[in-house]
Amino acid sequence: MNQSDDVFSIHRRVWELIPWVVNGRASGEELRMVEEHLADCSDCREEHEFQTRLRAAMSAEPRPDTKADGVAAAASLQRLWQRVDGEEEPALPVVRRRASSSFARGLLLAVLIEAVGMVALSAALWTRDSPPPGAPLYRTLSAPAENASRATIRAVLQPTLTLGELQALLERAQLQIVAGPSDAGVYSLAPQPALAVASAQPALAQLRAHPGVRFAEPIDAARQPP
Amino acid sequence: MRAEAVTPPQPGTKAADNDRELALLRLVAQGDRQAFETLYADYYRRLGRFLARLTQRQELIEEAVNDTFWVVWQKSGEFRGDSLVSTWIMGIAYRCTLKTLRRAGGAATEPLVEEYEDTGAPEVHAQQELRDWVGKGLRHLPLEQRTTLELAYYMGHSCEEIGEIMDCSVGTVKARMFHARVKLRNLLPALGGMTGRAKA
Repeated sequence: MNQSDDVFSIHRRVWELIPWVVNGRASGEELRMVEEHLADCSDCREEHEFQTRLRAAMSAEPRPDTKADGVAAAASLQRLWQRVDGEEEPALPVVRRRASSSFARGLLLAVLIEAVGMVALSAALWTRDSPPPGAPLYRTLSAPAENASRATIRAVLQPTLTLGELQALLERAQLQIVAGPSDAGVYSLAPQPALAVASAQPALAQLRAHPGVRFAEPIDAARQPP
Repeated sequence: MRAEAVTPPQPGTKAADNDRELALLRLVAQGDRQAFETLYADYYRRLGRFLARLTQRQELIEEAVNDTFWVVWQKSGEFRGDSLVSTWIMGIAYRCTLKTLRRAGGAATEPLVEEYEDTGAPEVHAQQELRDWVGKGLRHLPLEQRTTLELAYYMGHSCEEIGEIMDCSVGTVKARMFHARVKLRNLLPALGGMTGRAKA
């Protein structure tokens, strides 16, 4: 190989390395070789400048993170947890798939018990909410607003809380959801209709004690719920 | 990441980032949801911006991000540390995105046009114009070339890491980078000969 072959081969090698020098991922030795060559080669210098500007344009963030980005990320994460929780139980992850068949039978039994429980709960709620004879069997669109004003507690739930756990917790605390979740994930809770005058304190204590509740606070009677 | 296995990671943030992400991933493998949420928050914006170069449809971006992290949650226990955590996650993201885009059809691969915050400052306008202009050039590249450039220049990956992420040889990465560069030199000639057309 004569000297001009050598120069040409270095030129080709350097030209190929330029993007990795520009993004900081070339090795020390590669970087030295490129720097030495750039001192003598205007073509490669120009290419290096071009790639540097290209990278600057591609890596610049169009705007700083906003509060809305945070809210979008939180909402997206919540949807992912719902998916994980929804899919993990019936289709167990690979590592847990080797569980014994008695575990699988136990799981099936648990699902059946939960299903029976949900039917019973629905029946109980149906009975409680039955309108008096002669009352219309529909609700107007304005009804929820009226409902929301009954709210006595605001709560934010953990994304890990399952629907079943939430139903059980609300039943125990004798509460119902009257509004929400708001954009910030806040639920407005009210005593079940038969207990409209009950104090919020025992229910509040139950919510706060539950690991699936991030926070719960009473709503000042003078203020409206969100 | 074959090269890094021989040469220690470059001093700076890459190695430190990887140690942190590896510690989080180990916790995720034990079912730690808080660690998972930290990792998710770290990647959410970056991954979203990376994917915005591959599709303009926001709902597909979100779908691909969540598909990616669903796999991370499921497979964290299988990660053996043979590559950087970020390389592993980006490989999953690339496969999930291809799947999502295939399902959505060909028209989905147009890059997203970013919306900018207008602060009224001239340098922001200049930066915005430059980004618009480069964005238009990138749109003319095939998906693989665009992804290669994006992985190198936005995500900061090495040639070997990009090979792992896109499941191709280092030679293929170099060839894609070569063609992308030649095409962009023709599409954006002014970028080489001045300090940015937008500043003129």
